[in-house]
This record gives sequence, structure tokens and C-alpha cells, in this order.
Amino acid sequence: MSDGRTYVESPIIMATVRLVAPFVLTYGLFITLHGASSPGGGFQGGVIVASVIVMLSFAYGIDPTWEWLDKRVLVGITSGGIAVFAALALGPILLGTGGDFLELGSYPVIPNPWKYGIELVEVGIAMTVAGVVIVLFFQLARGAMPPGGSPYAKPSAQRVPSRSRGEAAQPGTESADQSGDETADQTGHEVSDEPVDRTDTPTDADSSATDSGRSTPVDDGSDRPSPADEGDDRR
Amino acid sequence: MITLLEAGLLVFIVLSALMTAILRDVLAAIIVFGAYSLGMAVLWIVLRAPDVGLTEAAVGAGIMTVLLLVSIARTTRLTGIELRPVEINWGVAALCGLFVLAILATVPALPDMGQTVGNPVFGEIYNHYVTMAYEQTHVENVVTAILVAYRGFDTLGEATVVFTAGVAVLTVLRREVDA
Repeated sequence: MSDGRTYVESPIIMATVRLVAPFVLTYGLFITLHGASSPGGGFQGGVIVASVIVMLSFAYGIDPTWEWLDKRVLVGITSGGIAVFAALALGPILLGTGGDFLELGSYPVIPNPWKYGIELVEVGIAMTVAGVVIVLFFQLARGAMPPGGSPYAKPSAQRVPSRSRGEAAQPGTESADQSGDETADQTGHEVSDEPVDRTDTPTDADSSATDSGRSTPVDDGSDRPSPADEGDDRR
Repeated sequence: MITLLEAGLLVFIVLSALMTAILRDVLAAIIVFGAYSLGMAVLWIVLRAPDVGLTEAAVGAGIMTVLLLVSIARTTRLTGIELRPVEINWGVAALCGLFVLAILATVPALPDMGQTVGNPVFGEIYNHYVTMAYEQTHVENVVTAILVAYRGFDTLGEATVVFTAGVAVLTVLRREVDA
């Protein structure tokens, strides 16, 4: 699936992402959970949490990161968020305590039901937003492209002159440039799933601070024979 | 009236918006569009709307730029047109300019920032939210209180829209792959 796709493996980007990712994740969760007391909330926090995954896939390659992700979790948070919100909204009616739809303050037992109800709603929103953004990113980055490269790869040679009509003349040079680029792509950094194993040792040494289990995503992806990916194989 | 910072930000925003429109290179246009969103985010914070600013920074400058970039990643890119503008249709440009001027002409009629007298924003509803929100919901951020407590229906609808739009877009992308 990474035919013709260029993934430049950069130790600098990988080390930076390893260092920054836990803090960005924490910040996203803070924005979500603290949205009741400071600027922020579910929409912003969800996007920031999703950007952690986007960062990881920039550093480790889009396809390995997608394989590392558990798709059931993605579907779970995307629809679970809405379910949490809807359940909280319906709760006051179903409990029969005389509350109206969305009247979070009418929950019994819980102290301060408005505040914690609102926080839970924010968490639900964040789950849905994060799930949608993550899946959207991966579908745009890899799903929309059939195996074997871009749908535009072939017709590009004919397209280039027509798109450069504003420039008046030299379509020949344009297409020559283009073909040069394409061959460079193919012979260049062609990376499948292995680069991970090689890069793991040098980066581990200097990033002991972020050496939690979460920060080595691609290892899991390559060790496992990608069981989660079966259903998502493109036809 | 208007501070130097605000004026600078406004100039930056208008310039980057114009650049987004006239740059021929799509990659350059996307980058300038990200700069535009960043300028907007800073402006929102300067205008004391941190919630909106945070959204603009995270969605507009962050994720939107990434999504646009991965969308064009596999299209072919012409070389040597990085900073070349598109051919401008001056008739259309003049029409747009007239339209902008017509809208700008209404700006002096708006109340000043923070002016409470004769400003419909600072009416009964404003006073109710600001004085009662904490008492009724025990939430310090009045924006969150309004979003979830007072306008819960809207927010539930918004979250559903995000979910539905996501599912719809993914369905379309999947079919494109299959076809």
C-alpha cells in the first residue's frame, strides 16, 4: 500500500514527536476536562487529542500508524461520544425524577449534577470529534487512494499542459519535470513497515523521558501480523 | 480606539486572505491559509474571545491545514509557480471590491467594543447569563454553561452533525476507493 508513497524517515521528527506527544495529549485532555472552568471544551479538546495521532503518523508513517490503531476503539469513541451525550440528555426523563430532556441538574444522588453533567457532555463531544477527525485524516491520507498510487498519477502527464495554459508555452518542459519527479519518487525513500525496527534503538537512548509504552506505536504494529487490518484492506 | 496590535493583525489577515485567493500554487495557498487562520486565532484572543480563538487555532490552523495537505498530497504539483499569482479578472475583482466597500460602510454603525449603552448585546439576556450562570450551573466558564446548559439542544445537534458528516464523508470516500 505504500507503493510510490514517499515517507522520509527522520530521527529529528521522531524524537520531537516522542517528546511532545504526551504533553499535547495531556493538554487536549485538560482542555476537554477543564472546559467548564477555563476556555475550551469538547470540540477544541477533541481536535487537539486527534492531532496527537496525526503527529504520530507524520513521524512514523501513515500506514504503520493506521495499522497500529485499533479500529474498534475508533468506532467506539466516535459513536460512543454521541451515545454518552444522548444518554445524559435522556437520563432525566428515563429516571422519572421529574426532569426534562437535557436537564442535567435533575440527576439525583450525584453532588453538583449540573457541573459534572456538563463535564461528561464535554467528554462525549471530545470523543466523537477526536474519532471523526482521526478517521477523516487517515481516509483522506490513504483510504482515498487506491493501491498502486494516486488516481492522478497516470493522467497527470496529459493534465499538466492543460493546467499550465496560463503560462503560455513550454508544456514540454513541464511534463519533463513531472516525469523526473515521478522517477525520483519511485527510486527514493521507499519505505514499508520495517524502518521502525531499525530506528527504535537509536531513539530510545535519548528519549528516556517519554519512554512509556504508548510512545512506541509502530513496534506493536510491525510485531503483530496486523490482524486488525483484514477488514480494512482495500480491494 | 484600535490598538497597533489589532491593526497589524487585521492587515496580516487581509493580506493572507488575498494571498490565499491569488496564489497559483495550491500548496502555497494552503500554507498561507493556515497563516490566515492563525492570525484570526490571535485576533479572537486579543478581542477577548479565547474559546473561539482556541477553536480557530485547533481546527482552522491545525487540523484543516493538515486535511487540505493530505488531500492534495497525491496530485501533481507544477514546479516554478510557487509565488506566481493567478490571472486576475479585474472586472470581477472590482465587483468584489465594491461589495467589500458596501459592507465596510456599515461598520461605523456598529456599537464600540465594550460599549454597554444602546448595545443590544448587553441587554437583559446578557445580564441573566452573567449573573445567574454560576448560580444555576456551578460552572465557571459562562461560554460552556451557555453551550451545554442553556443551549443544550443546539450542542447535541452540533455533535450529531459532526458525527453524521463524518460518517457521510467516509462512506463517500470508501465508495471512491471501491469504484
